[in-house]
Amino acid sequence: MPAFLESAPESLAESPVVKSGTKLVLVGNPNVGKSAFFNHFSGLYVDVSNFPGTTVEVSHGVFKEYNVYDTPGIYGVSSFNDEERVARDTVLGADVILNVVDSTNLERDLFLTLQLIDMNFKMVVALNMMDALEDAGLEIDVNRLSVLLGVPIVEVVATKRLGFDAVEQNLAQASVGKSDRALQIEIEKIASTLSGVPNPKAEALMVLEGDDVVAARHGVAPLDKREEIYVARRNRVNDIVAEVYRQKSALKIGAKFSEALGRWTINPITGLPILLFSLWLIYQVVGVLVAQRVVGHTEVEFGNKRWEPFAKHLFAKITPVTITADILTKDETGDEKTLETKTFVFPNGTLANDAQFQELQQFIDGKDVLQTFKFSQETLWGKMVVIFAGEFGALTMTVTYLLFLLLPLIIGFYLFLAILEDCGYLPRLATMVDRLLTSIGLNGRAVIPIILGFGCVTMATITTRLLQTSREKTIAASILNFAIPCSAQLAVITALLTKAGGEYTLIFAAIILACLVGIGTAVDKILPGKSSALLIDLPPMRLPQASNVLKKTWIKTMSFMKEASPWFFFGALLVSTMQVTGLLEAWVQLFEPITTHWLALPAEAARSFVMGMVRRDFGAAGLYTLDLSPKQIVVSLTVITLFVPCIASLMVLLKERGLREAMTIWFGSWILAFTIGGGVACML
Amino acid sequence: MNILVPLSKVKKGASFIIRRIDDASARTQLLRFGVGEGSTAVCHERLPLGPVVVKHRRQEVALGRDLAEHIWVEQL
Repeated sequence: MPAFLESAPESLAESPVVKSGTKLVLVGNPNVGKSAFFNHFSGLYVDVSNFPGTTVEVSHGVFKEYNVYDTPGIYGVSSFNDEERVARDTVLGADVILNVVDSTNLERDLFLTLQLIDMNFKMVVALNMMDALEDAGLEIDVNRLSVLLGVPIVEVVATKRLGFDAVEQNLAQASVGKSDRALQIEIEKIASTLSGVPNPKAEALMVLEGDDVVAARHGVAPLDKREEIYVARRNRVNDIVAEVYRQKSALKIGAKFSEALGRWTINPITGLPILLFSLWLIYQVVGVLVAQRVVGHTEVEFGNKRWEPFAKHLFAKITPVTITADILTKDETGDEKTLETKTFVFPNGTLANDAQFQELQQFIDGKDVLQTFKFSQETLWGKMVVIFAGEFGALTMTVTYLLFLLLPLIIGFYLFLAILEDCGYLPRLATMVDRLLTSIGLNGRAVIPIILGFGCVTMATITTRLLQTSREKTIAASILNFAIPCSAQLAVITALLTKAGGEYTLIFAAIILACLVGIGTAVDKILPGKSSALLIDLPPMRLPQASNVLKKTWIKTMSFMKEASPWFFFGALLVSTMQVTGLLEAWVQLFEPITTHWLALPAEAARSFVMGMVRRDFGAAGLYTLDLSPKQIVVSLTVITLFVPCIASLMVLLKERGLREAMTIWFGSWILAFTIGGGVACML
Repeated sequence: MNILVPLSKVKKGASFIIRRIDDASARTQLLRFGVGEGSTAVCHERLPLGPVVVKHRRQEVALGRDLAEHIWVEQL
């Protein structure tokens, strides 16, 4: 039995799989509205899991007697990238296929349909977006199409939930369509030698089309008939399309506007203002509203004032501790000020001294209060407490950081990403900036991780997966982790630069931009080979569907949290351990001479740099309290921006790009940050 | 035999027939989008030194400059 059949159901074991259920797989091109079908046919329970051995998500749900599987949007069943490989393996295990087709783009979509028919699957075709068809002034002879394909066809407007009942009724009539006779003879020859799979003919077609993975599973050599089969299939598609499409009238206004908008987004003269407007909007919502207002509130109110004292008090019960309570008040401008401070010492923990604990409770009762805990580190237990519940504690800082700081930001970013993706803007943006990115060895697709990097480098490093070659992934990961400041840092950088003034802001921006281009170009030159050229389908611009956008945001956010959280905990454990053992302090001291002599900065700046390894904003925030000249601000910000990625990014980098590459980037950052920083200090 | 020019040289708005695609992977991927050797298409948009957007019926495909230099077309 091939490996994927053994491992796929196992990974989905937690879900209520209908044992004898029919495996219904949804297949379609990208952006054909397939997710609306999945939402309808997956019932209440949906689970999303990474497909074994890949980073691509597969959603699964149960609908009546069907086990329903969603697949990534693909243009054909083959192995051009990870998504296609996952879709291929999910499709190969299908009992019935529901093929979702964009009715306004049959030339493209029917290629996949015919391939699935050639694979001898029982299937139903859902002709989606019948409303857009009318706007395009087109008409489809659906009965004729059904006769030509030999499978049931249902007209659907998924966004308005029209036609889903008919799809459901037709699933029982799913049938094997009309394929090419000559091709089927060749398929049968190979299929008779393959065994142990649900649909040997489908696998035989994969072998004929030169898919080496499927061929290897069956221990046969892949054949080289792909192009010949593709050309023949393309001709069949064109013949069918010519027979069923009819141009009834001219484009309606809606379709015309969508076409014009599509054109404006690509042309730099109009596209650049559109891009700037989009970025400005993202900045206003994610950068200002979420990052400053929402996060400013959730981090302090829920994290620092509720969760952390709660967790720390649990440990304080039996650990020697000194608790300082600051009673806070808000002045007219909304800034918090300390009204009153009181320190309580518990040499044997709070349980042992109930009277004083009551006093503390009374002091803080009903007031706006911030408590600082100083656990004694004399015993091993005390050290352990600091590791888990201290300043950088895995149970305290990490929880605050993940839930109250990162989560709202990630939701904001994924929300915008989903909107931009669903309205068809992203591929056009990729086209517009392709020229710029090719100069640093990337192609237009890399614009997504780079924009996301300004939000969270950890999240952006995960999205480098969507790049096609390992070479491009390396270049993108390098740029992100060397030179792109994340939103946590940007807030502090902006504040400091305001102090330094416009001239110094320009100098800083020029230095960072030069480093970004320099690193991209250098990695591009060093790595062997050539990056892939842009080849991308531009779907029509359309209004995104709220329910789809929300669902996508939710799924992506959850998957990021699931994937990144363990690394944040691990990073916190590592740093707390370094703090407790004195390693962190040793590191700070090691860097003091370089900081004072080479960079001409105060000795305390060394601490900021080392803290930047934990959380990038820690580093930048530390600089804020120092009294720096404008020149020193530029030098220190250059160092902190080019310096090593935060501990969570490093962990994700290790996982995505491997030990050697991650370490090269990490140690390289030390060298680059101090070299460039020193250079700037000399020149300014 | 008509003169073939690389797609990267075609002017915006001009129609052409694709005659040769000198990149095996791009050739198969383009076939799936509906664009193959022998297809008639229009140069929908051309960015300075950047990608070429080809429109074939309702399908728009953006091709990087490097790739466009390896696609040979006959102008109509």
